[in-house]
Amino acid sequence: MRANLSGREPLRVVLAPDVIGKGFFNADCREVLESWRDGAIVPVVTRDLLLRYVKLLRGLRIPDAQIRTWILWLTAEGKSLHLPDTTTPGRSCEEVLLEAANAGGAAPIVSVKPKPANGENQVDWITAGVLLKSLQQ
Amino acid sequence: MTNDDIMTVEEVAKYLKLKPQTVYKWAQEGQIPGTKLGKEWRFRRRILDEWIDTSIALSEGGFDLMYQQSLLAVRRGALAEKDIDKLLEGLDEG
Repeated sequence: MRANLSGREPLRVVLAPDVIGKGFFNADCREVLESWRDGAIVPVVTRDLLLRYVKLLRGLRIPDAQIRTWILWLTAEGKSLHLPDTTTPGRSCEEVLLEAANAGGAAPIVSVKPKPANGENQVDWITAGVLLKSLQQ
Repeated sequence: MTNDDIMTVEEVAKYLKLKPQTVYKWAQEGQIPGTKLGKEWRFRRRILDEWIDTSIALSEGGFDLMYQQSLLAVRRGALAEKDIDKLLEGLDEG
C-alpha cells in the first residue's frame, strides 16, 4: 500500500457511519475525513458497511452525483480497502463494524459512540479525537 | 468526433494536451486505458473521459468538492445533528 506524504503507511481503520454523518457538524470527525483525503488513513469497507454508508448519505439528502463520488472513494484501490465479498444480511451496525475490523486485520473502529459495554472482542474502538492524536505522533 | 471514436496516441495527446511520448509511456505502463492492436495503441474517447472524471473525483480537490457539495446538501435539507442521530439509529436495521 502506498505511503502518504509523511512517508508513513496509511493506518487501516474502520469508520463507523457516525464519523461520516457527524463529519458535517463535528470538527474532529471532519478532520478524520480530511486525514482519509490526505492518505493518512485507509478505511476498510465491506459490502454491508458500504450499504450503510450509502443509506446514511441518502438519508442526508446528498445528491446521487455526490454519492457516486463517495462510493468511488469508498471502493477505489489506494483510497480504501474494499472487501466486496463479505456480506451477511440482518446484522446490527456494530456486528458489521466488527466484521470489517477483523477482515481488515484487527483495524481499529473509529466512532463517535463509545465502545459498547458488552464488547468482549479484541478490536480497538476509538474516538475520532484519539485517532487524530495517534496520527500526530 | 463522437464519444465512441477510436483514437491514436497522437489524437489522445492532442485531446489531453500532452506529448505523444507521455501518452505512449502511460499506455505501456498501464496508466491510461487503451489497447494494443498489433504494434499500435488505440483508445476510446468515452473511456478516456470516464478515466479523467474518475481521476479528478479521486484527487484531493475532488474529495473537497464532494465534501463541500455534500455539506451544502445537508444544510439545504436543514438537517440538524439530532436528525443525523435518528438516521444513524436506523442503520441498525441494515
